[in-house]
Amino acid sequence: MVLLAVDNVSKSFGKHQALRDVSLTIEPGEFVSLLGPSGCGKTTLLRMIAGFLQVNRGTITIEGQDITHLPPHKRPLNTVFQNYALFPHLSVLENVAYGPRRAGVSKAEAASRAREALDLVGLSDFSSRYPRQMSGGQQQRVALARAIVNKPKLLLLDEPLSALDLQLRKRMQIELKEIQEKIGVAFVFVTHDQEEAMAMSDRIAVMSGGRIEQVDIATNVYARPATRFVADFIGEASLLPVERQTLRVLPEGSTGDAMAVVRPEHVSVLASPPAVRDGQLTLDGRIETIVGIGGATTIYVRAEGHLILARRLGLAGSDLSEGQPVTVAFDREAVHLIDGAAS
Amino acid sequence: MAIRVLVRLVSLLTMAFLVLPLVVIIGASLTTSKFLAFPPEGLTLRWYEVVISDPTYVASFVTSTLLAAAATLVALLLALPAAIAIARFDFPGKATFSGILLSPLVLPHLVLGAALLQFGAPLGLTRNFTALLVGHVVIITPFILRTVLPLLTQDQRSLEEASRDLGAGPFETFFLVTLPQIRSGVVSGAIFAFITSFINVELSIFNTTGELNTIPVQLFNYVQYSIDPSIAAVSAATILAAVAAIIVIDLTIGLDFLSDND
Amino acid sequence: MSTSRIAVLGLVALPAAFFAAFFLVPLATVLIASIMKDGSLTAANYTRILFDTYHWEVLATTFRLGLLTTVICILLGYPLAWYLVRMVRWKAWRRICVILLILPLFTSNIVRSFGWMVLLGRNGLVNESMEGLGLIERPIRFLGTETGILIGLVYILLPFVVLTIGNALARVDRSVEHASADLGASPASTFWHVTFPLSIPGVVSGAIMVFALAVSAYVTPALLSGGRVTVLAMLIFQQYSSVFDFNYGGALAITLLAFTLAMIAAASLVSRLGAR
Repeated sequence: MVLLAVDNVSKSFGKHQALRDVSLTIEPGEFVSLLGPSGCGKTTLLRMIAGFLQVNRGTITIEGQDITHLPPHKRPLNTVFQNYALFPHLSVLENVAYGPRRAGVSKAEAASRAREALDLVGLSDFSSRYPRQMSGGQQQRVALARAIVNKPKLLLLDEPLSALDLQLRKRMQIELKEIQEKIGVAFVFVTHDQEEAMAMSDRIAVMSGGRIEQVDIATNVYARPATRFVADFIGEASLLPVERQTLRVLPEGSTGDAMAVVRPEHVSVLASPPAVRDGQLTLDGRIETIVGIGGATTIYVRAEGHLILARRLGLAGSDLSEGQPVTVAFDREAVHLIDGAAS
Repeated sequence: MAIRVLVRLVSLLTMAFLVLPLVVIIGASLTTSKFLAFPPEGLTLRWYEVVISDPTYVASFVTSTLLAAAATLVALLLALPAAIAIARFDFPGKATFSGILLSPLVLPHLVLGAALLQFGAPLGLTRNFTALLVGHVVIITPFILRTVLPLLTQDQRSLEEASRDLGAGPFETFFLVTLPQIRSGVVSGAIFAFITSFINVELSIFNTTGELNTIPVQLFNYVQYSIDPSIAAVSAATILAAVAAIIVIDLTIGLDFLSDND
Repeated sequence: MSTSRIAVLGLVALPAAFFAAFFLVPLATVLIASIMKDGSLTAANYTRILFDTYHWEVLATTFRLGLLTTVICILLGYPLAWYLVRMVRWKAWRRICVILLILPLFTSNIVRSFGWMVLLGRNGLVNESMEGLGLIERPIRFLGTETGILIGLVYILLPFVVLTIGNALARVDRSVEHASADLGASPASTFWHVTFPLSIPGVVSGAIMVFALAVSAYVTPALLSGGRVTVLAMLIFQQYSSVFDFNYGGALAITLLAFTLAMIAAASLVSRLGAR
């Protein structure tokens, strides 16, 4: 049974159309990321699921029950807010016990549930502290404990890791995923960080301009982007206009009947043409720049007017230098075609 | 829902309560009758003419204006250096220093007025302009200090350091870099200071005389003995001046501080 | 190090000297006078306050008025602050309301009290409209009663409360309220468990301010009492302006000062406990 169903939801703020006919379903226990640049509508969608924003058109249901017009406090879901939104006047334990208390649970029972939740996030020793006495990472865990203590069916997380530094963020990604698997609650996770989305999600919904561009498992979003936006936004890629039948690459500025998406790791840069294997597509060009980034090297080749990215592990070979004429080659199988013309 | 209606009702009635006396004064100042009447019996500006042609009113208006202007100026000269010292330096006794400068905000002005009278008597510092001035400076300096201090933030330090780095001296840096950053606080603090001085009774009352009088003290003395519409006219004039001052403040620095942050 | 010391000295010298000369020394003069009588040290001025039942009455009146003013200001001011911050959706109206709220602060206590003298008189608007509505048969006497003074004090001090509470409410982080709703609290429950506790510092500081200003108010009680009710500030003024007993007046002034300072100390203690 579908847990959450967002059906053709639209939302506008004055003249600005924030969401256009967005549909999305979430299965129980699933981890789904809403990924997109700022202003794409991901937070708007999350706030409408939580009930903080009114839907203009469309419906939202949870387990078949229409919650579109239910106020936030009557919805069977909880939220981890971007700035954590911890109650500054309550201790950590009181923060976490807040939900059970509002549900009418006795003080003692609420406290014991809160301790359980704090235990789960590894903060059982901090229950008498106040939020401002804790680090950002600890506050983040309190927010998580507070949101899961009522055992919601669905947890909404609004860029919960964005305020943390990189090290801590990586650790929290793993921890969050472990907790999610342990409690078996479905997560809807808003982020603008594609690595984060890739690392954690079962499925990723890529959003842009108020629409969902693609919903798929992480590897497919990367390997089989549905639209030009997804291809561009997720990872790095060379987008080349081609003839669909022959996969012949057309020069810069022309329009083909399809667009080839080629990931840099599938592109080889060859100093001498004989190294080309059978079945490979080749283009002649000239190296513009070579950028070493520690473990890998990115080579920018100008060919047919296009800038093509190639990536090699390790340092660039001594065989290549900037300005050198080269041949770029990639397998036909590595090419993913999407509709649409070059712009 | 019922609560929202109740809150709205209480709020609107309270607003009416706040506005009513001012409306009454303006209304009563326009009456054609020889006694105070609200609603006014007929409309006339006669009482304003009476006030303008009364030299004691004019004299005390001049005194009040000069006093408020001079006190604001002196208070700025005291408060700005003090604010910079408090915001930019650490020195022993800093907390005491700022505490003392801010305390006239909460201490009874009447006590301060009495103290200045008692202190000034043996020095001949009573019942003259200087005596009024020092008292007013003491009560209005904290207004400027309080509005300027929060605006002297730590991140301006790097701007000041950049200015020094580019060859500006400390005074140039203050006038070219620091002052523009805190201008809104200086302006609003100075306006509040001016008005606080202009409307003060409790402090001035100890040091005013028949010849040297401020508008509010003179009104205070009149009101206790006789009430006629000319008093309403003077009061109404001060209300209208206050309205003008507030509109100026609203247009220059904005009074939108009750806006919801949502 | 030494340059910064010179800078501090240059900045601090003038304000420090001015406040020492015209603030600290005068207050010290009052303090010293209050413990002197006929040239020798004595506590007589204070014991006189303690043993004079008339002064007990004046003190009681002063504090009763202060307390009632504070309570009424909070009861009226909180809803108004809430209304202005949370309910008014039309920006222009809120702007007008804020201007009307600040306007009294920009006008003299005299002018504001004078308005109430006109309104509360025997034939004033208040009595006439109540008679007109048939609520009362004979005019109620407001002027010269504590009720009249109370109305005047509430009127004068209400804007302070509305502004401090309003500021506190405007600063409450809305995401915290959203979190409360998200955790299942109804709007009323969110108010009582989150918004109200977070606005308490504003309420406390507003209340303290009002109480301190109400017990030390002179103009409003003087004008609205018609000489029939006496509060502490009026007593002090009498000593200085007509009795010329600076020693006894000093003791009264120091008493008022001490009460005010005690209130402020209590307030900062409360706000520190609240912020814990």
